[in-house]
Amino acid sequence: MSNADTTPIAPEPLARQRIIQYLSAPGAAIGMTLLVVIVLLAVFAPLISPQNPYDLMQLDIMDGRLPPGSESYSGMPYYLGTDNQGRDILSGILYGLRTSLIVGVFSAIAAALIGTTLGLLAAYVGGRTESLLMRLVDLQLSFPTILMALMMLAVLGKGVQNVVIALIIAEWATYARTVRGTALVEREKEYIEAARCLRLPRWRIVFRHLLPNCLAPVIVIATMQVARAIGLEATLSFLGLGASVTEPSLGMLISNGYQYLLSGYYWISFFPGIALLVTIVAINLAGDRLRDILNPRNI
Amino acid sequence: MPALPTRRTFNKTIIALGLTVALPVAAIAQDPSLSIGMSTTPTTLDPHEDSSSPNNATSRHIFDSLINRGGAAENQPQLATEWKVVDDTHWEFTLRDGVKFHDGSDFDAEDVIASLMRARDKPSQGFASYTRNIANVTAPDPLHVIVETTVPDPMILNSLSRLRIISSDHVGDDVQAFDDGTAAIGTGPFKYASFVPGDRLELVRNDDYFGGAAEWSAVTLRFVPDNGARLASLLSGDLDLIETLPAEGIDRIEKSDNLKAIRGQSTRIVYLGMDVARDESPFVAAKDGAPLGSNPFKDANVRKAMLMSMNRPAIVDRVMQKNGTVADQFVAEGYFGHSDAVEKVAYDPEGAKKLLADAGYPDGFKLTLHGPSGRYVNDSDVLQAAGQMLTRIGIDTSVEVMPWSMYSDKYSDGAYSVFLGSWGVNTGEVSNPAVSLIETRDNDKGTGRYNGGGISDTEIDALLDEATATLDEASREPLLKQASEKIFNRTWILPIHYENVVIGAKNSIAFSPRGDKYTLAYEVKSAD
Repeated sequence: MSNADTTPIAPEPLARQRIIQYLSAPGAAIGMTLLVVIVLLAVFAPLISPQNPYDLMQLDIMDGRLPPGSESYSGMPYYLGTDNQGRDILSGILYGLRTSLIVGVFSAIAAALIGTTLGLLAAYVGGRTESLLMRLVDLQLSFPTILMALMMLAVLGKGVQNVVIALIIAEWATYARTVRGTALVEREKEYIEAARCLRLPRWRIVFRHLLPNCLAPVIVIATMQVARAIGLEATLSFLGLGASVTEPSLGMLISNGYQYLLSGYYWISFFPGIALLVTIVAINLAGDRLRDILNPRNI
Repeated sequence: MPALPTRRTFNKTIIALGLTVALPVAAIAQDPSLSIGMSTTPTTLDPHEDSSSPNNATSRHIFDSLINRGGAAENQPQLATEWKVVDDTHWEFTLRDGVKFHDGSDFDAEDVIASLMRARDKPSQGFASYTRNIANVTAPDPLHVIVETTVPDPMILNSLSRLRIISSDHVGDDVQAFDDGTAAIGTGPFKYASFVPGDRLELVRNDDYFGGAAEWSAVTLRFVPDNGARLASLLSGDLDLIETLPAEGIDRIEKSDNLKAIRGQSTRIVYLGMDVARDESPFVAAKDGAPLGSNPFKDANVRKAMLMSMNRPAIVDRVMQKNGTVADQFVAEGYFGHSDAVEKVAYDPEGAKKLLADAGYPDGFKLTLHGPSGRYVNDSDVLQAAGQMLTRIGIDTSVEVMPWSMYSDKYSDGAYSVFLGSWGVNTGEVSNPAVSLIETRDNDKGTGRYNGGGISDTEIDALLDEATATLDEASREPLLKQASEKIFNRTWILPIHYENVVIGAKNSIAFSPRGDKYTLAYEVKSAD
């Protein structure tokens, strides 16, 4: 018997344990690393990108559709080429990531807040409120998400904030449905009964006792929804309903290059497409692992 | 058991098929045929039912008019050999002698009267804009007709060039009779062979055509609105010539050994309009976002500076990929009302900055440009390029584009400060765009319907009013030239470019595209 075996190991703090558990899967480690890099690139885009692609002053159509590796007449290299307006694709991607992440994160969080609240309400109050809310959810879920978002944008008009609003309206129902399901199960458990017996106020039972125990699925859905929202925003932009044409997001960059694909100007769509792909895969990888860990059957 | 083809019979079939294909190929050597891929689909062969470009271009193969429109929209003798003005409301036309319809009957004044009246009185009223001024048509003898108009109408020759002459035997026939060929009997260069609506029209040569027989013994007009399918048919050799070569195919065609792109100028002009009416324009602000306190576009120097800031050759070269021609006025050289005295404004950003400073805007201002997306060739890219160029002279520009359905009413009603507009000058002369886009808006007079900038220049209005009531071409032309000079030297709008017609064809084909974008088989020749 060696000393080491008998020395009690100091218990790791729970958070750290969880992080180690999370990163023990190689997919998640890669996904998380990529995600961190992408977020950093997006946050520091104005500092690292060679050009401000939103400043028309810095664009020159004489530099339009240059292949990757070309130089502008002022000597600035276009590592990934330029689009038809002479916009540096690399800078366009870095700035486009900002738009994508902002849209994805904000719409997922806001939809989660709204959806969770309404789901809890439906589950706990029951009765007519529940029927009304859940039929609304049914109605909403029966529409394809993209159609819903298109309709909203037709009403609201274009612009990034309107895309966020459209996505929130298109996505809240998923949260509401899931949270209600979980909450219905939790509500019958003994700890809620105990809380009721203590005659705690209703809001306290709902938000302090019921909510924390319903959060795991919400967190998982939210991660996936960020990826979904980024994809949707790209789709909407591709269809010409997203951000302003002079402030292209990834989807719009792809659509700018789409008409030139057959002419051999592949880079205008290709590199933004890769960036979009990597972002969505990274988020999904990171989210998958989160789902595995937070799955109640695994805890 | 049904007789399934054995390998041997199958092989025989192949050989037989090969022969049937090979024989006509051998015959083509003496008797050439032509297949044209049209980018739009005509709705009927009845030439008086519905006036649209595809219908009028298709009917032109079978039927003639009194007046022919040349490729540059000039009026040429066709079934009428000469014409003269009798008085303000009466025109006399001398008809061509010895012309026969495809069924062998003679053409005379009776057919003209019947055709013009049919076009005017048809319930569909498809040609109302061309027939509304025709009061009566009479014939003193079989080779002369008198056209009486309700008001003096200098555009009557243009109108008559749209109205096809059918045989008076078929004046009572309906659309169906024209589509199945029984009534599709004209005097034109080709005879009806068969028509499959939405797919193709087969034609054979009229050997007795008065203008000389066409070069092609048989012509097929295929209606292929899908860009990819039309391009593929040209690449595979099914079609000899296609309309509107899609932009993505131009590189491939130009790199190919046996195909070519033919470019010609159309009469469609693309321009920027400006709000010159309001005291404060809605999408203009000082650089810090505060109200500017004035409308810069009311100042001709600011408008001129904006035009000088635009590198239009670069827009044509880079954004339009050479599918456009720089425009300085409504119509290009050779068209009625074009004036050489219109100043050609060159790209001069430094001069533009100076002009802007002299006009009282040394710091520039903020501006939002508006435009449609997907309506004109590369419209949103053209607008963004204009935005770049305006930004360089100190006008901080952002660009907003929207679908045509959202844009069209708003821009013509004057909702925007600076907007992208376009006009297809189908008459080939200046009064048509000028009356709609520049003349003061007056709904009773029908002027200024698309004057989205609220332009109101009494001198130009007077010139246009006089020109549209002057019958004599020789006295009308100087009026329209003066109007052109005043419109563009005062920079009421900023002309950008004329869209080009781009046609894809085999190297063995020669064709010069027309301003109205019609592809007429009679004008297609083989290149030697």
